[in-house]
Amino acid sequence: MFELYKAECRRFARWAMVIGALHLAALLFIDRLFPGLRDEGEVCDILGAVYGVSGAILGVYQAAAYARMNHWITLLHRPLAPWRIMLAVSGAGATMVCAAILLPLLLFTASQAVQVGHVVDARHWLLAVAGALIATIGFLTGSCAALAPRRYGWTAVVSVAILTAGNSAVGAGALLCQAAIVVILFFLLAGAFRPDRARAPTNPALLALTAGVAALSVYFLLLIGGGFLYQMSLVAIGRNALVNMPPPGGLVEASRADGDDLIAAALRAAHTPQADAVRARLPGVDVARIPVAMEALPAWGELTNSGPITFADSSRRIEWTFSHDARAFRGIRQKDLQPAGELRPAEAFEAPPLRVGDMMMAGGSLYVLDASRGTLERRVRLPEGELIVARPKSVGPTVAILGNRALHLFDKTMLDGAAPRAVAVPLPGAIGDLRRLDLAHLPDVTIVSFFFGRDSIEGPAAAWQSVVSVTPDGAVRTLARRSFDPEFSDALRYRAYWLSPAIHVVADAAGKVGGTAGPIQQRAPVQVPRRVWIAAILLSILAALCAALLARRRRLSTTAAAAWSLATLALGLPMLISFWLTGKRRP
Amino acid sequence: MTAALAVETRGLTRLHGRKRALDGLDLALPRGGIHAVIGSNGAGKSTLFRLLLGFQSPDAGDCFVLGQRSNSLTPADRKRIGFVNEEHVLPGWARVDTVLDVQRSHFADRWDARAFDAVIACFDLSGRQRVGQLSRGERAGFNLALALAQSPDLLILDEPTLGLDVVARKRLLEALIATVGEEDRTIVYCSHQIDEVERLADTLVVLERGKLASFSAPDALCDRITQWVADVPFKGPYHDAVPGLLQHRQIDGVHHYIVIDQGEAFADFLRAQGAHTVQAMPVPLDRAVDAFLTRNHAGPAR
Repeated sequence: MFELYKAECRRFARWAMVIGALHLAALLFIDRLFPGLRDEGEVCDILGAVYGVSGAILGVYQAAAYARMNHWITLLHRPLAPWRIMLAVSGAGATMVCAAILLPLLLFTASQAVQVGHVVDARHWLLAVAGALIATIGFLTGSCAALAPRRYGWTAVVSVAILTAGNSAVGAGALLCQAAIVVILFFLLAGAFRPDRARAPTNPALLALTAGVAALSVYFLLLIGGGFLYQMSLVAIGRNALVNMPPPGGLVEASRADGDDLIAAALRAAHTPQADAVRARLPGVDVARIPVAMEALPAWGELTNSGPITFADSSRRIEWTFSHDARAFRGIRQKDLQPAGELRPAEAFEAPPLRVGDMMMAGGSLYVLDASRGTLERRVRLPEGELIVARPKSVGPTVAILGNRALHLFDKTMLDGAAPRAVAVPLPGAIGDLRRLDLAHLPDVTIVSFFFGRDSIEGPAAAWQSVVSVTPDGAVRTLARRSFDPEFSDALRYRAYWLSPAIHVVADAAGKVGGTAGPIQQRAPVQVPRRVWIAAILLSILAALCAALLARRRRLSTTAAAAWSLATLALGLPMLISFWLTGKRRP
Repeated sequence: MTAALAVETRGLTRLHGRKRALDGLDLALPRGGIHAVIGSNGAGKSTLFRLLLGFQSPDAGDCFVLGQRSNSLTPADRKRIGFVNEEHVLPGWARVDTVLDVQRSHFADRWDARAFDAVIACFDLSGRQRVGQLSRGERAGFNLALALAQSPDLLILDEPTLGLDVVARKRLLEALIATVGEEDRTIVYCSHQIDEVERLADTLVVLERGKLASFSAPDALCDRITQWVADVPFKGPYHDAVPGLLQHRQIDGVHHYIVIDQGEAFADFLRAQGAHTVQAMPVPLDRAVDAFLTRNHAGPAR
């Protein structure tokens, strides 16, 4: 086996060296030309995609060359178990991919570590490992796609692409997720690496894994493709609220309305004297839109940055870069590129800081750089356990800071060091559901409109609006509250549930595994209508019956037929399609 | 499965789409000797070998190799079976030495360096050469040398001389003959070259449209087939009325009938059709096989 591994390594060694050298040169060139670009999360995402695609190209190239019948016989007809041949051949390919990706990344990181002007944390070394893992994932995915039967070989690509891109894992958790995907792909490839490539694996565990991945991919395709087809059908008949004229008073119209119209509509619908009185005073008043919660907040040890981590103190000519290891900014003097010490607030950072204009938000605190003293001063501290989840917004005499529990309206003078005076407006719903936030200052009262319903137009979340008034002394009073009827049918909005509730749970969990429970994930539970559950159950039963018929047609044993039928009952229509794809009808 | 059989198939059927590549094939090849498998293109020869090696699964029926079911061959079983395909597929990117090292490591306990050297001596190969740089004949020789050095109990050769020039073919056959004569080895040899078959084969297996059309010694097949030359007026009898007809040609007004399993009674049949003169002639193996294989083919051969 080792001879085969060595031979296959030699096959790609020269290419790996050339690509590795080009890779290192490109990294150094880019860093020289655009210093700091490596700290951009998007750049890391693009590089990750390049590594993944490069790995996939090699995987397809290597596997497709062996996939032709006579080549396949030559490779597998030898006194070695197929999985050992796979270990030698694919292992050699993966080794070369890793060598071409990991070594240049490690050398690049090492070169930065020895230079004075760069901050290199443990996470940067882990980032190099993540690059190699992504390339390996690409390689194994390409191999699976080329070697597995055409009927379902593509399913590995769909699942891996969606799970890799959609996972919210950070730091070491991201590496563990990538390693888990590598392990899954390894076993998928082992299932495809057998003499008769036209058949699904005979090993029950490998068959279950293959069918499970196929079902997951089919679920994603039905979810995305079905939604797209439904939308296009509505466009064709001129009844798509997102494309054609939305119905008045509906969710789509409200989500597009100007702030004053949105607040006025809610107040009008309330039919109360207080609401009418406020509505009468609204015309001519500026309504500001306040940013809602960010998709991701910085987390300790994150592999890529959620935002800029560098800023320049122009008065002292020092460039500060945040170090996760030191939990402080490390400075470099711009005149001689020598270290200028560390910068941290008197109290430790609760979370990695995120620059927002001239300020810095970290956990529940907001900091500003005191230019005269060269120190970080905390201007805002939200109540214990509350996080700042959005960029502060200056509105009239106040600064609106959105926490995960309340909207805090601070007097603007606090930015200049005055004692912070704030009014807190509790959120009437979950922060993760907040879709839109509008604020208007009247002379004696502030009006705040909370519009909840993220993922409510095409998704299952409930959509509703609450308008409150806030007096300067902090008294909050609800003026209006209204719910929106969604324009789209339950068939579209709850398709993730009726297609396969079980796979929905698995896919949802897979997307969250390894990630931090950020504010955006704090959401109200979805209220699924009973008719959707009934549809899901009926569809699963129908799919299970079809699976039983298909098993009979394929002349499967009673045990196998029962297993497929039960799996289809549990996983629904996607599993039935997976069964159809992975099996082959006997004549 | 009978232990004395090298290859056995029972009702072996394999569909390629709607076409039956193998159609209920029953075959039993005893251990030892050279069994030639012939058949026209699409007769199912390569499909048979793929099924025997477990690289395709039968749609019906069973097949066994050296007593083992083909779709559950273990690495130890594969060690006893050598296979050479018509393309002589070897990794073109690898050096000859590299391929040799890999094969030798896999067959360390059975490696027959003498057999390898005997074959490879017929070809001018350098260990530093890449396989991709070898000529087709050199690659074929190298491939056969590797297969023989594995000391297989069963060696399956799927058209190993296809596309080779006369010199390479001759060298390859000499190498094969030189090394197998002294071994208790079974060789299943597929070829379209009837002269090779005649020279090598102990048994002749004729496949036709996925079915076993004939299974006998080469001479026995020749004995069954006779060419009759008759001076029959006009067009002669309709083909459907000619018993055992394999091939019919009319040359200068004289009818040439190649028939199977017909004795002297065929002369009486021809005379009854108005033949003035009738003459029986033995048929060489290549013509016998040609007639046998073309009997059901559409076209002007008859």
